[in-house]
Amino acid sequence: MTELSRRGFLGGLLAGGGALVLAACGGGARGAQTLRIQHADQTGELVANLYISVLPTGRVALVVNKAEIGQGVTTGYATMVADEIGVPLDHVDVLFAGANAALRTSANMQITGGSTSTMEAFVPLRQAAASAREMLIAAAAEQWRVPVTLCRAVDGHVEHLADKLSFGELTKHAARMPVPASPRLKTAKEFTLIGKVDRRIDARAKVDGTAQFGIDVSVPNMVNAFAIHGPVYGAKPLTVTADAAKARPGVLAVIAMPWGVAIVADKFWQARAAAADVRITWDKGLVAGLDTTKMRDALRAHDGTGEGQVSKHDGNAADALADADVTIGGVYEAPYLAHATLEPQNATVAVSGGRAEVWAPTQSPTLVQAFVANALGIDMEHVTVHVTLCGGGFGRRAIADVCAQAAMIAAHVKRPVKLTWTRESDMTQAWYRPIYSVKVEGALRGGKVTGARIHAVSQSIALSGKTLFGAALSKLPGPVVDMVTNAALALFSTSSFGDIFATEGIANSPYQLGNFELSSEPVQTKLPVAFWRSVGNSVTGFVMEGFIDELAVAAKQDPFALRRQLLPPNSKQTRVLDALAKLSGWATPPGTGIGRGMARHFAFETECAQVVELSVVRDRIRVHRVYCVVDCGLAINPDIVKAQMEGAIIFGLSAALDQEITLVNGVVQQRNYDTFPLLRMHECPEIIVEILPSDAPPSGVGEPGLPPIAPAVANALFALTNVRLRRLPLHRAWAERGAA
Amino acid sequence: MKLVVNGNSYEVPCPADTPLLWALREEVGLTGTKFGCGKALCGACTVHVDGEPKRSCVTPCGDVVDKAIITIEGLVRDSVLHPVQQAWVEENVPQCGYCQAGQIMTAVVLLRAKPQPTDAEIDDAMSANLCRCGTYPRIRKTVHRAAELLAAAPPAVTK
Amino acid sequence: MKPLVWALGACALTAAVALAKPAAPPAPAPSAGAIAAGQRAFVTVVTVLKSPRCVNCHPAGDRPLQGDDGHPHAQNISRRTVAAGVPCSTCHQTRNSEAVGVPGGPPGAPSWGLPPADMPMVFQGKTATEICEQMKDPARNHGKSLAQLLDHATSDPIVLWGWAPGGTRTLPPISHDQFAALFKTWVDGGGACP
Repeated sequence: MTELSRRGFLGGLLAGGGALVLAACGGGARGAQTLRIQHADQTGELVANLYISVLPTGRVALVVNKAEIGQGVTTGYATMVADEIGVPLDHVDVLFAGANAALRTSANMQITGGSTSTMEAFVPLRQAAASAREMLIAAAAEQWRVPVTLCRAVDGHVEHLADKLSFGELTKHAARMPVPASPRLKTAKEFTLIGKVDRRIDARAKVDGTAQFGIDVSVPNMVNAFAIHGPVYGAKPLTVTADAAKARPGVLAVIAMPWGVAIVADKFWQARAAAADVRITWDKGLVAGLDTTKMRDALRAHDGTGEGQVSKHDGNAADALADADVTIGGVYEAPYLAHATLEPQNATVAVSGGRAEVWAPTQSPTLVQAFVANALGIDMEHVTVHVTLCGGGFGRRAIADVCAQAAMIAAHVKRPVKLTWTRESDMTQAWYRPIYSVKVEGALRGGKVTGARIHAVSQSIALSGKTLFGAALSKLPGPVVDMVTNAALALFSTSSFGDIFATEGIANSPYQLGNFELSSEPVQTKLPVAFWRSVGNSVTGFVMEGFIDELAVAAKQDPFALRRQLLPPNSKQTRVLDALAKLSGWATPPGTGIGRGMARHFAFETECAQVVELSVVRDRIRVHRVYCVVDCGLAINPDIVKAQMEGAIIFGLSAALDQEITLVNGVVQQRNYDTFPLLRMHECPEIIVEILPSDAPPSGVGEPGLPPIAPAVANALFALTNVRLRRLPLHRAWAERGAA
Repeated sequence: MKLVVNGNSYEVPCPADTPLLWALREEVGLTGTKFGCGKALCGACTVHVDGEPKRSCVTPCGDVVDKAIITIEGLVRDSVLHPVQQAWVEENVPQCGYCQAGQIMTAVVLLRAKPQPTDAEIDDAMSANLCRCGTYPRIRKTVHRAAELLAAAPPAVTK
Repeated sequence: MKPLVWALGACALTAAVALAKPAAPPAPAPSAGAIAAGQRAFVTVVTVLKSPRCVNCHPAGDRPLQGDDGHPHAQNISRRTVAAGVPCSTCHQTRNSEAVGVPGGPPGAPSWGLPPADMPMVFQGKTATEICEQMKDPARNHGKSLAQLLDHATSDPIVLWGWAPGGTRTLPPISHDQFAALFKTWVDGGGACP
């Protein structure tokens, strides 16, 4: 995996502004100086986002405008291109695109999120590759003076009877051929790689130490920075005493920043060690006094009556509740959560002459531009971004606060700076998954579900985004601010429903509950909240599936049978559920001492359902096995889909069982993996994944595996113990089950 | 001070209390060993010192002078992957890949101590290595595969 | 009182080997007063052995304990971890992490670790008498003499660490000098158990 460093090459590509570029090399070498670029503009329905170059070596260079955060996007994109163009997978070299307006394919941004990458690219990327294939075939056919219909592209060659020319021999000629208006895409039956490839193209570099993450970046004349952040989020240093630190070997500067203090040294460890000699007094910070225990009580106190924005209103839920012979319900709660990517936040920035160059493990080069431009008071267009591999993303790397901080330091010391946050900074500055408190009420009459009312109170990502992005972009010219804030807000919210993230997964729930009312109420603090794997679904899945389980208990129905009854017949949902029942042996009771629970969720266009088998040993929930069935449309790389399901289940299980970010008097209490635990190998269940075969276009894969796991565990725990837990994390809820 | 890494000697100017991790990354220039937590909580920085695993983020480099230090890069011989690395590729273990150097370094010492480990023995050795992407089921499976590969063709030992 | 078997073996020797060695010249029998003083002293010695700094590495099971509350070691660590190729020294170095600029990192001292599986030397959940009998029993202490036990108590770096544990770790209830003196009193009393 190489980062696209040949800026001349990329610049040349972008100058054409086209979707498809077939680059031919006039001089025969691959250097930027000798490349002669032939542009082939393709407009109309194609989104100008991806760049394919067939080089004279016969290799295919693929520029990917997405971040590889472990979800396998580079393998997926390379697979689609290789299959459609007709080369073996290992003939494709993936390059990460830098920031460029022409590459904004998601809400006018370059961003990797919402499990959209494969959905977004499935047609246009293959169209671009098919165009390249047809141009190569056309070039060969012209040379052989035969009809193109008698030629075919296979294994990096164009063939006609016994004649054979390699793609490399054809690039120069092919670049002069007209771009096909509507290239023919392969049918599913013709796929040789899509749905069949069982490897990752980045595996080797990730096991031999050569993979380059952001933290591994080194540029000439670079120095290193260590940041000290105040005890309270956003705290500004009032006084900094650093004479002794500045006298230490290698230390170049100690800088007071708008939030935090930076120590700059030749080497990171020199800077880190010098921190012992820095004395700082801080202002009270942005969230002084914030206390999650009190906040939880305050959120619970909102009963929702007559408050908030109604985002769904079918029939009359109030009447259904009044007329019910049985009502059920309670308050479902979820804490703030950190992403805790294993690679701490970091960025390398060089600043000179009103321009900045950034090397960063980022999910959004556009937001890197915005944050850095604002920090320096320069134009966004003057920020060059190089995207590296990301050591985990999960939403955290959409936010470029560390890049802004690195830029300020670089501007101060007038040398390229790599800023590496410690784990403690990473965890206390995390742009958290919001805190939620969701009141649910269900009505039953004669054993039938007749209605439901749900009121979601949560810290609003939309409002947090608006406030924080507004501030982050305050120094930029108006039109640029509008462009980025609108783009960000398009991701953050819908104008009609307020904060879409508060209710996503409930508002679009496929359950047919009869009379139904859904409302939401935003809560604001200055603790930043943003995207965390599956975003609102990480909570609403827990809410809805716990609620459905409660309804099943009240209706004296099997949880599978009730779901079957409430879901649309012959739907994706019922197909997945039926397959899950079969896979997990639902009809057969679980063994003695084993609790079994079920949950499902639809998000990112993908349906995923899970069954959990667990036991409780000395007050610890031990999940033994998870069955998972997913319908994600066509699986480009089934093994990566399986890996994403495994990963999302484990990620979600870590959160469901043990994780929470709490604040006492404004101070985040969790600072490292000892207090914010991740599941470890000995706690990891056996996971059995089934991917339903599908001819539908691919849908999301990185996130949909997460929402069902927490409710499946809570439901299994209820089945085993008759204790209904409505609060995450479950071990805390279990320990305090008598208290609330 | 002199550090012997992957069979090569390096004169590094670090104070003796500098964690080995940073000496490797910033002085020797081997960045395959990763910084994750800084406190021996995650295992991403695991290397071998005289054949034993070490969390390099808490190991002062003054303690390992003249000892045989092996990093993830040192498992590769003449561009050929160590059987454990090879197994990792075959089974598509990495997702983001950031923790995998530490996972592999731990798996190598496990397989020396227990050439045919049980699942429980794999848990015993590997539970101190964190993976945020959740590759644990694959790691467990792959350690068994690596055991097969090692039994078939044990690697030469780097001094 | 059973005769003591004085062993010359170092800790690496197994109990069986140690027992097979010819006995060292017997020390003069302690006086009744010395025995009584030793028994009293051992009761106070046990308050140290039961403090978190000592008992955490002398647990009843295979898992070391952590913290002043003695919770099981995180990360699924046990004697089996060591057997699977990952010794305590993977994380625990010869000094506390604070000493190398990593505050809050693992504590460390030379030879950090649990007693071996065949000599677990359990303090957790044992009475003073049980600890005393166990401690001086060559079959359960790798053949160590009282003098060697005294040496461990007074000068082994891992024992001394207990009084300089760093961080916010609590100290044993009495000073090391007092502990060493009381331990010697017990040894001088012939290792008589309370």
